[in-house]
Amino acid sequence: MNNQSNKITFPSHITTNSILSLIRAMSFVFKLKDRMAANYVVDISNVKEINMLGVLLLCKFLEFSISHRCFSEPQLGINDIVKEAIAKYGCLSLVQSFMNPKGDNRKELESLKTKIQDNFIIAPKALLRNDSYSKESLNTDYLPAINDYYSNTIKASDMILQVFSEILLNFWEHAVDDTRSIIIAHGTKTNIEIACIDTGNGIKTTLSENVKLKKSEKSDILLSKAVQKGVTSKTNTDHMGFGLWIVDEIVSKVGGRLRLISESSAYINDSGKKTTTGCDYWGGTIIYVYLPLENPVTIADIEKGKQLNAKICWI
Amino acid sequence: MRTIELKKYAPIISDKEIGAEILGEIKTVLNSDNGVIIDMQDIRSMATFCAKQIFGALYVEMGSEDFFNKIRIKSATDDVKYIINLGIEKALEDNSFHL
Repeated sequence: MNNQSNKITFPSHITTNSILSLIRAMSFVFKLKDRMAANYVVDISNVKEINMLGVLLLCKFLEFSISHRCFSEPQLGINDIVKEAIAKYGCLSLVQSFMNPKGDNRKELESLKTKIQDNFIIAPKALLRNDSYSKESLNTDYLPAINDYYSNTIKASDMILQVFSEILLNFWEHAVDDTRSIIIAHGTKTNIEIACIDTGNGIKTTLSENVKLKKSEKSDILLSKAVQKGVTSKTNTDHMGFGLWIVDEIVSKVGGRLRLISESSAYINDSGKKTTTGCDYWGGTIIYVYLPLENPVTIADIEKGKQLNAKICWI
Repeated sequence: MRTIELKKYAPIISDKEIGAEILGEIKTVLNSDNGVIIDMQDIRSMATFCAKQIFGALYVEMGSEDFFNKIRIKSATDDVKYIINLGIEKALEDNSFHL
């Protein structure tokens, strides 16, 4: 950001690998909550490439800055590439509604539509705390649409639904204060990307209440603990702390990618190569998963051969 | 033995209110009958949270023998079986911790 002109410039290529650079450009917005800062120009006009995760982050950035009155009469410079990407991922009316701060964008959030074509599926969905909207339509409309698209590959479909169920539950249960989380999937017959972003309480903060670090450990390591089996911020509940572990294990086994970003830390899993690093601040949680579908694995494959001890009558 | 069909919740059970609803339904049947069949047809996945909420809670409450004799789980996929096992194991672990 150039302080003299208050011009916020976005990276020209917004891909999964450059997502931390995008967060660097957006991070300052969390310091401007209720500040109504004047003379800001949000310049997205130099973007030459933007993927699904970039579009979703952009949506959340705009939504946060407007709903929290960060700017006073900001100018938005946007080019056709970005407009087309926003439209491609089904978020155009949503972004337009953000631009109208007097309006209520719940209608636009509810109207996000799954789009299925011959060679791809795009499925955006807002996670609203509204029984008539989310709870019914997730199971009766949204997830069956994804399931149907992958119906020729049962194993891949099972893997996708498992990853979805754990991500969804994680955001439902942890992002209690944020009513505008959006989950989005973009899939072809050979791979699928799933992303969910909120601006509520980040995983890092909620986890730090229950996971104590050794003096020698940096706080970034908390995110790597979030994907360990049995680690949960919600002790003494039915939460098991298995959700992110399952997602991480599946990503490792299929050669996929996972990005888990919260506050000033990022956990990165690229085909089983895992790292944690510091990054610029995002006030909430970002999760992104890329799964190739060539050799899918499901939860039963994660600990294959493990002795299961419960005495159950299966018929 | 009465059967509770869960396919109305398909393809995945991932909501704690639905988990509570299913647990309540099973308990209602067990109050009047000596056993229950839980039909998992069309359930492709289940959040581990819900497995613990439903099956973990029942296993701890009923004990392993009663659970085995009175609850039959039908048409569960390998994944769903694994998740149910995880839920029960974690509930037992938590229960022993609190004893």
